Amino acid sequence: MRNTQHGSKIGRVSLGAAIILALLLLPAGALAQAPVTAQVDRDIIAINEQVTLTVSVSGDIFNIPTPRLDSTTDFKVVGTSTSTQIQLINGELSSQGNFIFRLEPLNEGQLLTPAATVKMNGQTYSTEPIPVQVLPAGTLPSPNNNTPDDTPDNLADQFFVEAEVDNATPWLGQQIIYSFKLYQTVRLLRQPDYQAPAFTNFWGQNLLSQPQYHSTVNGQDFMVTEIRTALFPASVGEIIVEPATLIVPGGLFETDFVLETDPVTVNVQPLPPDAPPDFNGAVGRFTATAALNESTGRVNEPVTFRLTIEGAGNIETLAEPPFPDLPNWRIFDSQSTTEINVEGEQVQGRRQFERLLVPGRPGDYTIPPISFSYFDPQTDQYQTLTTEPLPITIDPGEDGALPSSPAVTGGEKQPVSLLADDIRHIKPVPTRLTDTGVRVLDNWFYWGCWLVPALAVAGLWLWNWRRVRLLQDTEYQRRVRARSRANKLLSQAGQPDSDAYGLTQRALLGYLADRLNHPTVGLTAAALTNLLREAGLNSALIEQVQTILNQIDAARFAPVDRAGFQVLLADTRRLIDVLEKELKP
Amino acid sequence: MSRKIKGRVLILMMIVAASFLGWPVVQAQNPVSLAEAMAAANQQYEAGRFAEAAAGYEALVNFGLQNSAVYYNLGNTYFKMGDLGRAILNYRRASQLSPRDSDITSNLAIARAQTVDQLETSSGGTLANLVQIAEEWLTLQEAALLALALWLVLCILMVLMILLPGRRPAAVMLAAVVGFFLAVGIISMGNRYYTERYYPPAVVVASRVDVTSGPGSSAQYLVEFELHSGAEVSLLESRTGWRRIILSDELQGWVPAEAVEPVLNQR
Repeated sequence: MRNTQHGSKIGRVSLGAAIILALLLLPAGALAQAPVTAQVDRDIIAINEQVTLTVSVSGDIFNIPTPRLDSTTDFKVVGTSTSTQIQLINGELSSQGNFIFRLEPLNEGQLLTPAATVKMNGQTYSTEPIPVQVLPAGTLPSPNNNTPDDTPDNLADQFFVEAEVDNATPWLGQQIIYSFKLYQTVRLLRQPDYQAPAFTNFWGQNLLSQPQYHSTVNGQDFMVTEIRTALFPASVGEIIVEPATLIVPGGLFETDFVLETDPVTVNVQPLPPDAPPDFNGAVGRFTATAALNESTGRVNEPVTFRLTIEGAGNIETLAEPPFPDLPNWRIFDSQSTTEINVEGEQVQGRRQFERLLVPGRPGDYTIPPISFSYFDPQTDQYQTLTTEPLPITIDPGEDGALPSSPAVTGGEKQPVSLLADDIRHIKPVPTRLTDTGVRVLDNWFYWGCWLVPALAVAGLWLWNWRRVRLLQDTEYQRRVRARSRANKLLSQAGQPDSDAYGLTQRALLGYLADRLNHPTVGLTAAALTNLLREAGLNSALIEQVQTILNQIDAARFAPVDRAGFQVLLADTRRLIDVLEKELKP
Repeated sequence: MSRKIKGRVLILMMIVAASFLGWPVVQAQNPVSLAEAMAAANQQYEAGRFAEAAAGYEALVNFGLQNSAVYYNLGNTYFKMGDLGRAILNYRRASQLSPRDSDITSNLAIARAQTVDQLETSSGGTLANLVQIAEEWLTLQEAALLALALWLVLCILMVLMILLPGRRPAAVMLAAVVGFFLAVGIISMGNRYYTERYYPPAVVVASRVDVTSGPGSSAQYLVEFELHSGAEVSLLESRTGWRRIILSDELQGWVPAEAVEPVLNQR
């Protein structure tokens, strides 16, 4: 069943690059990977389907920042989810955040997913847009079968890359190993940059070993560096692994030197149809054990049930087998932890599901066996595991507790004295080991919470102060409302069929009387002049007041035309505006 | 050779050996949870391998995790290694995150009792005591949230005073009580902020250090006094390679930057 595909292609090679390559010094082992990568689950979809864009951000900080997607008219983000994983490599911790965006296409054709940008440690990283082909609804995606050109070059004799999988016809979910091989007769000067394919339609990408060895191809001795990646097919049918690229940065006058492998085709077979009813997609070889942390317990005191599934396969995607109902017990939701070891050529590990069980009544109970089925690709058969039944005895709680310790002897009491002083012992791992150093004082929202009620109280106080004063202080009330009253009368005067001049006169005189706190009745022109002078108004303005009043008086008895009246009305409004500023309270 | 130095030499030898063997840059990556990393360090502690335990806790701290249990365990580890300075430093970091934890206070007191230098502690009036109690009982975060809650209560009381003039005397009484505690909270926050900003606390981590009259060695400047591991000081100024510390008005001077470590973790 072993099938190998390989090929090589060299792009953008210049003569200078060949000379530089001849001087290359560094071994090819050191390959770098970018801290932010993006990949899509499928590159061909129908318009009514969704594509999943996964942006992975890794760094040496605890709180991985969330990437921001560029705005796009091609896709709409219909859902997001996040998962974070922490890894320990060479004693240093690092985190990887996987931000999953579900994108819905808005157009058909060759579209580009939005680029993702993230700021981390003062630097900005962004990913390239990924092309996705969107077909009309109902059109089945057809795999592209373009074979790349195989251009041999004389450089290819010294230097080429190839890619292969160890099993080209795996079962759905069965681990395969994708090997990228760099063949070289000379050493590389600069650190090459390995860009893994997107591995669309695969789960998990655990890096396996990076062996280096010598190999003879066409009679020539090559140094081979292999990068091996474990993959788990996630969909049935033909999957094409895009070419992997190795970029060797160019020199001062040279362009980058790019090596690209051929695409590799994997034909994933669906699992046989005779699956047991409890089969949930696990493929590999597993063992399952169940345990309780105590064999006896007490009413209302929780015991921990732990189901451990261990073995080789895609541990991360294992679903929890259903837990049976237990009468008289309260059953809490489970928490799972995953440990993955990449040993040899096989991804293996352990997934643990822990849940708290709280007994409600005393008695002897048995936690029934849990069954778990998987498909074994080595025997091509389904296997079902059942765990051992777990007996547990529940005693009554505190109230009805039986004496379990020897009878108390009434003896002399001895003072407790300190024999030696030591520091108190270390703390166990907290149930929630979280970062508690968050600073609320650096948060603008916190300060907003101080400011908003302060402004609200101040506003309320001002409103209330004005309301009370308007009720109690008539002089204040007349002064404050003078202008709005005058404006109201002037608006009425502006309407046809009204006593226009009478209203205008009442407006101006009423305004002045309100502002000067004087009764309107019996306000003669002379008295008004005196009052205005006392109020500190300059004589030019007093004269203006008199002029307007005279004009109104004259017009009442010899009416002017409509246009003339509009001018008078506008003059009156303007005068009131000026007076409002000049007449200080 | 002490046990501590032996441990460090061993780790160094392992690193050097590893680099000669040519470990690949991209290694098999084992996902772990923070809890597992801490549990591993705890196991090293229980087995008496304190240098390894300290490295494990330090990795968590360097990773950016600020958690009082991690700092406390790291403090214990350094205490067991005989490094009083780093023990006190980490107990104080733990205490800032969990001021009401009696284990931390107790171990900090034991570690302080073993230091060489006798340092004066100042005591103020009633209000200063109240502010100090607030600082000892609440984290800055808790004080900030409590002060905000009191402020919201005060605002509600003021609204009632405005809208219900008939109930004003009762509301004024309540507002006065709330206002008093709010004042204590704000003074406590302000005091902490001021101290953190202008007199950030630090701990001497060198076993013995000369405090000189200027940023330079004893050959250049006069040695004014000396301090030992675990002495708690305040930082006044930092220059390349040197830090100016203060104990009291009379006792201040310069020490090499690596001899003291600020309590507030910069990361």
